[in-house]
Amino acid sequence: MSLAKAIKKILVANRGEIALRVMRAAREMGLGSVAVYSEADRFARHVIEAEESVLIGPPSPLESYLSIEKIIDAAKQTGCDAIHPGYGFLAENAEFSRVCTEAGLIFIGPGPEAISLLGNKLISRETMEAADVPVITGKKIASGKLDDFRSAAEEIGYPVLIKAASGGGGKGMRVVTDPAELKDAVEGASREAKSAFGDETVYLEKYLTRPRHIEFQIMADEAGNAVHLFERECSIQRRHQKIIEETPSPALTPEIREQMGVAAVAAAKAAKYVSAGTVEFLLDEDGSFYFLEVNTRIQVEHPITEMTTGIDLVKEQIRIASGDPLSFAQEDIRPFGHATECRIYAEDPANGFLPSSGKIVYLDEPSAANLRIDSGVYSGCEVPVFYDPILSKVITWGKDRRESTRRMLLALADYKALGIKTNVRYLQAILQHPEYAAGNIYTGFLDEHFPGWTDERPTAEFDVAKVGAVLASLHQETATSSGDESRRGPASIWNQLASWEM
Amino acid sequence: MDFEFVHNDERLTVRAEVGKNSIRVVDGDSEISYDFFSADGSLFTISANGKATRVVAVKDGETIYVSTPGGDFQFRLPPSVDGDTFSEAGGGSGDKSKLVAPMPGKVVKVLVEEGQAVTEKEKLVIVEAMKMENPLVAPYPAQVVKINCEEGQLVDTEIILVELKELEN
Repeated sequence: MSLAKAIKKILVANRGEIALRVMRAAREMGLGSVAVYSEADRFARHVIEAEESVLIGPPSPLESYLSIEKIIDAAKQTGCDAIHPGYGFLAENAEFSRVCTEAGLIFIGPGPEAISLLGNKLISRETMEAADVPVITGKKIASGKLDDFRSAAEEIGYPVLIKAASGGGGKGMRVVTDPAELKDAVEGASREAKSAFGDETVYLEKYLTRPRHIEFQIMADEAGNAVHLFERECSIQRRHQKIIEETPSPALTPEIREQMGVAAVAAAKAAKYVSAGTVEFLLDEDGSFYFLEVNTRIQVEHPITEMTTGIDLVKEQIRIASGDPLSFAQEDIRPFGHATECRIYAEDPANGFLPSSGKIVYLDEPSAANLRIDSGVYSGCEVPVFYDPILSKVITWGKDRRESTRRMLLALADYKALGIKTNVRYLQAILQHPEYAAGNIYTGFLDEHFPGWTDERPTAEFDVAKVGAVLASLHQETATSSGDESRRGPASIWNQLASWEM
Repeated sequence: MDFEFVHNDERLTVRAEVGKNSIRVVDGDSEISYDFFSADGSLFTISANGKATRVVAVKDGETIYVSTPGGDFQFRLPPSVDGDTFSEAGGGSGDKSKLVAPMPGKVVKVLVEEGQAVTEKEKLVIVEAMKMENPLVAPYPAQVVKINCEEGQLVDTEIILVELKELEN
């Protein structure tokens, strides 16, 4: 395969599982890749698995993964000709896209104009209205002054949603039901927005009470071709953070799917979009849908679309960035079967979902047919406090929703991460809920069915756990504890135990 | 021999005899014999009465992590010499009047003042870690005795951020 504009070496301006995902795509295409890392990620998996890596600064994201200057320098220094931003960090930063191009580097993603237009939720809404894409009713825009927020909220009525203008992924987002909470919500959202995206602008809109989150994957090339790769339902969210995604959505009829697909492609064309993107909609109970926003990046949940369509979205992004036309037309895309993704987070469901950082003392991720793991961690690695607590993604494919879900449950039962807390048991409980099995999901699902969820483990397992504790206590740690702590891991002592006859 | 652990802040003694691939656990009058196998010293197949359970058990420093199909458990090895050091080292559930950050992070907001009376679950301090804001809340109605942090300060899990005095109803 030859690329129209030469891309030979890609700098991946990200960390964790997505950095590994992009580097692997590059490697499969025969292209070079370079990782960047902060001081906190010296021994991160994306660094130790990289062919080449560059230290770009201290742990604070503003001084490392969000530093445009340092990343461009790293790309120049290592002779890269393209940059892939992953998701989060600089992925939806128009300035970054612009500076890359000015520096003679190919930005693997949309140009600065499309990012500015769509990345800003205020402007994108106007563009979509003009292109006849349905936009949420009652949505109001407010300026940065608290009094304006108060009057706008009163005008459209509570509950309202405070959102970061340049945000995504639930960061800098707050639902306000009580006017007394408005001040804290606006301030908190601004602070989170500032630290996560470097832009503290927030706005306010009407909050639908029982919507589903349905998004369409889009892909467009420089020649103006645009297609959609069908939907993903991401209604299972906790505090606006998606945790389980699936495709197809159990809620869409062929008619609604057709209408939404047409709207998604219209949105891509209205914005003169190039590269992979995601058009997010809210689907109301009556089947009407509203444009929410366009995410101008590869999404965390992109693998489920890859599982059902057989299309590698990251490679397609790279091809499009090189100037190639789309390698498929709309009618070539025929999704097959059902795919589910669970996000494994380092957090403690039993303790208010507090993020859990520290060392993963043991990791064993499952493997099986039609199971994909996109992981950013390894046994013995440290989970730093500075970044998103996502560890890895478990993705299953099945001939139908039931098979995909059952395969996921088996995979989660085999997912073992010790030393830190994870949400695995929580994910299992959600997938086993009869309303989930029935497909009756919506964005408020977890708040309604899992408020204050606690893990109810059978006490019978405690006996065998004690046996495990005894056996582990006999385990001699092999490395000296005065040495590198992060390198100290489990090693076999059973040769020694062999002499422990009763 | 007796194996001493601490689980959920309670001391626990497991009387067991360990053989090459078997272990006998004695609890009062009853005893259970298990067979076990491990290829790597961390993933064990432990079976009793023909039923096999796959268990991961790993010791890291003074902590033993055990994962069973029914859930994860954490055991600590008891302090070897001085029994008094445990309650401090164990942290957490001991003294509820001294609030520490649940994880290292940055104090972004101090919502109360010294001397102020607070209600149960009232937010006292907001610590930002891993990009999310985590409020520290009062465990019961109390008076704020001392605040040891300020906005913008980086804190670890050792520093007592707020000291409370419980108020009687």
